Amino acid sequence: MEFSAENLNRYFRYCFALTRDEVHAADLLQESIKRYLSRPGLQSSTKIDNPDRYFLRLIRNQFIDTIRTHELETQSLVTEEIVIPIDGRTLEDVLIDREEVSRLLSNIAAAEREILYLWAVEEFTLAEIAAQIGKPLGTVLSKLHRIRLKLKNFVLEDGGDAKASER
Amino acid sequence: MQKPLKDNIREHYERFSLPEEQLRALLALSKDASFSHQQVSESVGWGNASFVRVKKFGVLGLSLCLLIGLMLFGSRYLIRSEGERITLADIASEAAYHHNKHMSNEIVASSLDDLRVFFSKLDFSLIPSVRLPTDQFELLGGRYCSVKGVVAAQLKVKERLSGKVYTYYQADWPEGVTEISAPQEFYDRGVKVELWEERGLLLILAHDG
Repeated sequence: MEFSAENLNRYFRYCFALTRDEVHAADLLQESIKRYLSRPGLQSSTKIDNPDRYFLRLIRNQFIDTIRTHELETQSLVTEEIVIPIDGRTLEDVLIDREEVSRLLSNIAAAEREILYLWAVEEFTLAEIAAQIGKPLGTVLSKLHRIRLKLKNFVLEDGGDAKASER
Repeated sequence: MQKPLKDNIREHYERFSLPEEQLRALLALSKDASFSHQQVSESVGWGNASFVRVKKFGVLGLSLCLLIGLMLFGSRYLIRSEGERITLADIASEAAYHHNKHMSNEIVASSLDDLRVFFSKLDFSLIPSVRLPTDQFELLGGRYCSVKGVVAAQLKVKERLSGKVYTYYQADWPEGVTEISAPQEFYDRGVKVELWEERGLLLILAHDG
């Protein structure tokens, strides 16, 4: 697997989506690369089907392992959640002001940020996201539903001056 | 102006990139992977071409190939064993790398009590070190970090006399690393790293050598 500058920056952004901190993101990426280098499979002839997604999962696992002891937020990445029935709509039709994005991302859990990142930046389908994070599709849909609700709450907090809307 | 959420999120993340220095360091680090992988792949390269040559050279060739294969298998085993074991040199190398990054403190504090409150999520309590007496070294602050995957405290201390700033770690011993009876010194990336044990903790001091 080749780590190009472009890929390293991509992985860094994923780390940033998880940690919400540039310094921690750089640390996480470094630890993940080291873990990749030291994995036993590196020295076998076993081929990894999709090294890129394998490395994204490795980053995720490293995030959970390293930060778990002092970052309670990761609980939302590793604990099972109740799946609520929803209508299956995604966020494709949501319009939002640019400045609201930072506010949204700082008001949602790491697991929700991760899903948004994989959906928007990596352009994963919902089924691919579910496979990547090892959760049922219903859980992904449930989290998307929750993000929608948070976006709506932003609108209410802004006193009806709609910042996010649906097409 | 409103835009699709997806576009806005993508643009938001594209604003973030690794600092140039860290990007270079990570590229260098990742090249180790390519090298190791290539090295091992070559060493176990028993493809069709090798087999054809064995037939061509007969018994002598076969014996030679078996001998080489045995040697390569041995070297592969050694490479694997070495790769999986964490050494003090590995720890020193990681400490040197972090020291060179000059990362800012998450907490600014000059007393161990204040730092203990901040580092409450560690599995151990920060200790005063006999090697860094407070009349000679001043605490500046710290941040969480990890040493070989184990969560640790990364502190900054200043030598009062010289004003020199050191990166100082307190950590649990990573699994598989044997505790040391005497301080050890390493040089890595131009950084002098000292490791020692106190009250069951691994303490590391890194400074420009």
